[in-house]
Amino acid sequence: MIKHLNLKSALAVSAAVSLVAANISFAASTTGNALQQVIAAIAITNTSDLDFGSAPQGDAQKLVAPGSAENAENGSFAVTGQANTAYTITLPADGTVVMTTAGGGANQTIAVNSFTSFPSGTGLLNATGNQSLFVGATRAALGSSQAPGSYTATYTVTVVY
Amino acid sequence: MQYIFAGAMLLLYLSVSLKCLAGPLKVTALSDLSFPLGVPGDPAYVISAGTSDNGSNASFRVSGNANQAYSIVLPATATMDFKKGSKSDSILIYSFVSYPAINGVLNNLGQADFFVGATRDALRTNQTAGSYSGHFSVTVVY
Repeated sequence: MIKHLNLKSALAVSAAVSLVAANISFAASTTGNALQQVIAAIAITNTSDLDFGSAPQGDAQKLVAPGSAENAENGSFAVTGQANTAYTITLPADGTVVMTTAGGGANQTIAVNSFTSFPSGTGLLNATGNQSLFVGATRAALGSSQAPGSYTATYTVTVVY
Repeated sequence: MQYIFAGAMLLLYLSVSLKCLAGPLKVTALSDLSFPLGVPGDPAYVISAGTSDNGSNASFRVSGNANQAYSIVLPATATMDFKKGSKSDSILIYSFVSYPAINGVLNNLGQADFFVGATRDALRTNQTAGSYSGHFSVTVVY
């Protein structure tokens, strides 16, 4: 009789333990890191025009070098952004910039090609996030019937990190 | 004889029960959720969970019982903060996702890795430049 009771209680105890085990759940947590570097947006501002000066009809092509400092002819730009950060310079492709006068008809256009810059290709912003950028190009030869007048065009310089 | 048998049964049940309880669940971070270089005004950026560690997603290792199923609980949002001197700013992260999504199974060595991605909010045009960092909590449950 005593043996029989022991068996029952043993089973009861083990059943209780199993039930507890089935109901227990475990949880563990940890922390992950999330990271983001934000740098100042890059900007470019034109500070002086690319100026080929005055020339007579039939004049040969004229090259304005980018130079390494502001002068009367080169185009100047101020680039601002993240300190000590490199950026890429994109200049107009040949055939995309044409200066015009009046309506831009026959003898009223002058092509500007072979854009160059200083720095060339890649720039680097200084410790305060600034750099000056200078642009030169070649003005096409003027025709013998080139219409007198003031010729202008706009060109685009793009800077990208 | 019956008495000894009952005792043996009890020990057997207890050992089975204890085996279920053994192997505490543990989760460890292996890699950070790392968003690429951004500039003010950038649109929201999504890092997908991926299926392996890829340098962008966050990786975690779960260890516990062999072949045990587990669930992953991700946060709804988190923030990355920047503070330097008087300057401070923050960026929200949301839409956390994981691989596997929600339910995973530990391998026969009691281990599994899972991967977490999330969406970084768009950067404001006046977002302060700097290095932002933040924490997010992940929980695994048997």
